[in-house]
Amino acid sequence: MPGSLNRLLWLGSAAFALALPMLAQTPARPAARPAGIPRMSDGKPNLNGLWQSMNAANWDVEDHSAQAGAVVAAGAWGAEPAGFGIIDGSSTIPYRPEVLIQREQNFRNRAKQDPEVKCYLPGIPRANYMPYPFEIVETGGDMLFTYSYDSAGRVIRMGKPRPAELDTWMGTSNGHWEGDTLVIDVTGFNGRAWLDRHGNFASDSLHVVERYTMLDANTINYEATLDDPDTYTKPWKISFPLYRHREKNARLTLFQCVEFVEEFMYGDLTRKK
Amino acid sequence: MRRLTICGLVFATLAGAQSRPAIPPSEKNFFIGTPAGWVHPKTPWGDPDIQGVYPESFVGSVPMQRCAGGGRGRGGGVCDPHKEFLTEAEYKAAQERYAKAPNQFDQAKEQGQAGREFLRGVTDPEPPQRQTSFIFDPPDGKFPELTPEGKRVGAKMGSSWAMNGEHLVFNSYEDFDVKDRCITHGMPATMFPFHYNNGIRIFQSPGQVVIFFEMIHDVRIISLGDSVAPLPRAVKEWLGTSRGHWEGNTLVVETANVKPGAMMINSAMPGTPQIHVPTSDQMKITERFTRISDDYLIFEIKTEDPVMLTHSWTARFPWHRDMNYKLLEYACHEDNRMVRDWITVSQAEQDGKITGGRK
Amino acid sequence: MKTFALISAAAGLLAAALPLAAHHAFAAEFDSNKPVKLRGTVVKVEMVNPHSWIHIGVKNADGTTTEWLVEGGSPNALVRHGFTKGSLPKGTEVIFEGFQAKDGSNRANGRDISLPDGTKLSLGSSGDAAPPEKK
Repeated sequence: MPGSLNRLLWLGSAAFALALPMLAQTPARPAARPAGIPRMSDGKPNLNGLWQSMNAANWDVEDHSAQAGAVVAAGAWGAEPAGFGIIDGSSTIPYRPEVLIQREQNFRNRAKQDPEVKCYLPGIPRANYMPYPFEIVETGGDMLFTYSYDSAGRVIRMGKPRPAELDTWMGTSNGHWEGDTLVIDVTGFNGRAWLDRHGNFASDSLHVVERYTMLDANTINYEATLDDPDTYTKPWKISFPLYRHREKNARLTLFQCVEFVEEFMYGDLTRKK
Repeated sequence: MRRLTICGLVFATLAGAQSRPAIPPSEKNFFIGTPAGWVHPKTPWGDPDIQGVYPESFVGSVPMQRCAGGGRGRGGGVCDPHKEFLTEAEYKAAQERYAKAPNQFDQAKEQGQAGREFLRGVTDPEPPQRQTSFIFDPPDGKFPELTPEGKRVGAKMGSSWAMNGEHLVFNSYEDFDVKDRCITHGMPATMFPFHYNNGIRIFQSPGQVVIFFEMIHDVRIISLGDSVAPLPRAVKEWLGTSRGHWEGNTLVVETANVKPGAMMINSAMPGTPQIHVPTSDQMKITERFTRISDDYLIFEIKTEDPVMLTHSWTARFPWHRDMNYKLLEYACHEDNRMVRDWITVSQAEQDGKITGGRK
Repeated sequence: MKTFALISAAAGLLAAALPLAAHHAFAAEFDSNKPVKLRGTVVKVEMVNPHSWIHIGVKNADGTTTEWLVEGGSPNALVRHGFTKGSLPKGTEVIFEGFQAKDGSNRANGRDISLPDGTKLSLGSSGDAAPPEKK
């Protein structure tokens, strides 16, 4: 065979062989996708990164004025700034009237009873509006949301949903995509987490449906519907933006606070040697 | 002839996968072969894919040290400290014993004896392994001697896990170890099996590998390449800060900045030295993760701590990938009654308020 | 006499060869010389970590009820083996055997819970002072 044709065939074959894997992986893209948000190779929005909310919802998810804290000795460290509620279309949670007394009791005892004081797991949706960052690890399959606070973590199962085998603090999360929105259905709560430092709460019948939609490369619009017929008269919705951490070396650190609450929880027992 | 050669080259390139020979079982791969034609999966962004759930109970029966059982070797007879693997006959005998052993959960149900088997992961199989210890270096499989500083600090560590002959006294939450206190299992102990809930799951996203642990909902974020600068030395965490890079299909991870206070290894596990081994902020850990088939990965971990140990040690063992293992939330601190209950009981005992009972 | 059998088994193990690993100090909380065998009804099952707890209401001779707290294993392990909260519904009559807490409080390390018909449900106790099983 003539040399040049030989070389051509060789190059052509080699190029074909090299191209094969890429051809196999590139999916057919639907037309007219909004530009500007990062995407995984399968076309889904790429939510990977370090995220954090910027609001006062962890103090109180409802509208509230600035006020003194529950621990006088903490001064301004422990006092509460004003905040606009994160509830859609209302400034208050639609509690069943008979459970409001529980919320009042929680509020009065919050310095001892708020699970956050004892570094207990935060539950969902509270984990997403605590004043600490969290990382979304999007793999193309199941995802991991790993929170700085208490190294709380939850696996988001994509694909076939699995039921909650146990009642847990963080619930059992099953996710799927609806277009460019990540929808996460959370069930199987143990009813022990609070919604904020004000004693707002839910029962173990709570069912949360979250929606994560990127507004741009550095902002996610977060929404969550809370449905708990034992506690609320109707489902209600919260929403707020999540902002990407953009520091040069942004990384998650773990606020593993259990060791910092032991003196508070067990110090009364200590006998010096 | 040349035409055939070119076609052959193309065919070989395209069919490269099919022509890869099997890698037979040997000591090098812990007798786990790689099937012919197996291609290492890749993530969509081109990194070797090692993701999955790997319950460490798979190697729960392996002793940390060789010949740690008072001279009695695995498989019977006098223990040879340089024998790294059971012979084929010894392993077969161990497998036969394991297969014949009754399902301990069902047996416990019938006999009405829960016993400690539950906490040893009776629901999570611990099949026999051929290796005689986790430790391969030093070559005699022994854990390094501690430095005087290591012994001094270790002697002050407390735990709810009593070593031989110990009578435990509790007067403070600090008399427990950080596992008891539901804080962490620490490094490198987190990478080794414990009595129960040994779920480990590896996730990958562009630029990082993230390892999530059932105990105690802990996480290690391994930044790849130069994507993130190391943590400043002043920022220490229980599982340290890790950076990784790929050497072929092997993930190499270097970890430092480990916060001292956890025990380096779990004295509650078989074949461990019966002392409390502390860690220092000079500890450095190097790991290698190599996936060898769809269901198996070979893991190697080298630990150096010049302040606490007289020399380094290296362990090596296979991981088994099991996507059916249910990795559940382990909320530990939230219902941890042990700290308060055990201090209360111990103080009542110290005050002479409890008569009788076994010490 | 199962209770005695339990004690002597435990005692036998205690006298055995040197343990190969540290053991969870059962004796720091429970007393192997204080076996309990009680009959009552399930009040509540707490499937929590690190130990599950079963609250059992035991009727006393004088008609009053004492609530006992029986400690079990990690619910994660129990769930992976099919034991769930629903396995022991409230009101179920049970017989439980275990060892009482050293300080005499109504807390026990649950070795076994059985139903009156004899079906046994093993609990995954907090372990005992025996050395680990030799493999």
